[in-house]
Amino acid sequence: MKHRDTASGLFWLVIGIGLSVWTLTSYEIGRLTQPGTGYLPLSLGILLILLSLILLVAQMKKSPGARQAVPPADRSGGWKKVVYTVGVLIVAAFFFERVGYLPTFFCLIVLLMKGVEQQSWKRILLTALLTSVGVYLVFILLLEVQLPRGFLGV
Amino acid sequence: MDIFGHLALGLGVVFTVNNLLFCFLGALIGTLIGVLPGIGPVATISLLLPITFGMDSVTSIILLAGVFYGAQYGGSTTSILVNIPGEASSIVTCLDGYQMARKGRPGAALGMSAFGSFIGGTASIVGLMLLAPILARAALKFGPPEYFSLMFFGLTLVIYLCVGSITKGLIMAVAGLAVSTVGQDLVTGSTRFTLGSITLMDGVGIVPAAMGVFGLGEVLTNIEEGIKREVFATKVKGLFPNLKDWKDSAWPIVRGTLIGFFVGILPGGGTVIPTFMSYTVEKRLSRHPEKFGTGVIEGVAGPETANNAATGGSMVTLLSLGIPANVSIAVLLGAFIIHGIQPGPLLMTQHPHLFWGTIASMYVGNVMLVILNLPLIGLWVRILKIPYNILFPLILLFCFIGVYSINNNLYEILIMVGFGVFGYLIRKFGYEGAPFLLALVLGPMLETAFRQSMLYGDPFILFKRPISMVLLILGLFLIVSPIFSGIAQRRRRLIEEENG
Repeated sequence: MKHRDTASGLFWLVIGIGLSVWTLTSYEIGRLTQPGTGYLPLSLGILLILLSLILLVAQMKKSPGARQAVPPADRSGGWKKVVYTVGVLIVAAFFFERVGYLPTFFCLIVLLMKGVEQQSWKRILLTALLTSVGVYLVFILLLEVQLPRGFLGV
Repeated sequence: MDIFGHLALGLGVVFTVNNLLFCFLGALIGTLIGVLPGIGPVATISLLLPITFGMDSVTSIILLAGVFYGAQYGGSTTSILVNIPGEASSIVTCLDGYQMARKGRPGAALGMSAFGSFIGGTASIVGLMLLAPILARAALKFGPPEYFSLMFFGLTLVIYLCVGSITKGLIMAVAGLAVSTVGQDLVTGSTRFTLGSITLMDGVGIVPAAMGVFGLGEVLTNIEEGIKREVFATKVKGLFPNLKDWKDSAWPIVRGTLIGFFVGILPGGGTVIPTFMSYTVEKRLSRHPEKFGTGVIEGVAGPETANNAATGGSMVTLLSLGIPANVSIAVLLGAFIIHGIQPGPLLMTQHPHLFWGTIASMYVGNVMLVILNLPLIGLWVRILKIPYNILFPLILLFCFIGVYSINNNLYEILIMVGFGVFGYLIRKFGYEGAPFLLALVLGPMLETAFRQSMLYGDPFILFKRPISMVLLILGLFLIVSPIFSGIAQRRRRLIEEENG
């Protein structure tokens, strides 16, 4: 799994098989002249299997030196920042409707700025504050976008 | 009515205080988001969509179209001054534009891209005005087989022009089509792959998918690599290119206009592909191709003209056929439908005010954009000085609000995050997002057209109708040709080995 085309080829092979099996067991396929609900998904599943096999075979034919490795994931721990950012976004989505947009956005900005790059608290809090006020002025007052107001009620 | 009568009708629609104001707002917002990397027209148009609900349909489209073509003006500023593309369509501009800035000529690069944009943009509207009615009349004879083959051809074109391998492009397109089958089957009404989720009943939204793959995906890649950037020029002087610049740029601008307009018409042509094509053509035709990449003005003028000319081209496909040529246009199509208007061959006769008003507003908008981009350049430069570690949380916040505001549905934010991770991973493994998203956009139309074609009762109907047959064969050729060129290369190598 060191090589990126091997890894992604296997991934698409699994997806292709999964799609085909799911379609075959759940939906009516029909015929070419009378395609049913499952006709397109099944065709796509089979195509995906074929394409991933082409990718895998082409990879095997290459000399080991010509294969491109998966870009190193541990370059200065950058991937941890990616996982962290995705995590923060999911947590923010979870709290969004419960506590309202203002506290969520304030915390979102603080967490993202603090976690991804070391910066002074003054700068972070100032950005978070200005952003919250900006969101209120532009999106709520000017554009009248409907956002959950939460316990603050604004 | 002749063409001037139509144009007069359109200008009559535009020249009201309200419509002029919204045309200006669209151009202004378009330039702003064009300058900001990571925020594109897709996110912005979908964010503005809900606020147009209460507005007149013509005014709404004038505003949203302004954002679309305005973004092509702003993108070049970031490419030239910071060496980061403000939009995907100004990636190529980085090559020579940034080098020109380093050599102390940022003004000439910015000025030429603004003038080129204006010429390309305006000329493509003339093309739009002349071609759209003809195409609409021809399209009245189009049946499902022709629509199917046209979209199929557009999809193969995007795959063919992918940077990576054709196989990977095909995988992306097939995956996009597979995601587009989620939700209600438009023909039988039964649901597919929804896992009982109500959100997925309507299918996977284009906006959360596009903002995930392009917006969030790009931010995640940048965060991992730790982006460093600096604004090159603080004070930009001499925005008017000199006589030699004009002489060097004249033909690239003409060719850029033609490439942009005609590629833009093709479904899948978009605004990105013409810029790459224009750059390649200029390099090949140039008497000094070795200088490309060191700051030659042709490398800025051609592509920057092409991406603006493509905006007029892709409006042709939308207004006369009702087919979205790219993701931004797909969101714009959504705006038409929300206002109860179906773009297509009948649009011109059923809604002449909207049709000609939109076209006329594009003329006016392009004039506004040149004015906005030249004297106000200092303002955009200041916006570029916002450091990325402040900018990226704002981009994510913008995506967050944009996705939520469409349906007030929390699950769509999670869908966006999912596609963000997907977009980050495909970049890592050498895949491209463009075929995936175009397939997702065209998927439901493609499937419906295919199944309606099969209702003719003839499995070979797609090959029996002339227009459909030509498009299908062209599309298949695009996919298969790299295999043949691979064989040809291998044969050449064998012959060389035998001879040597």
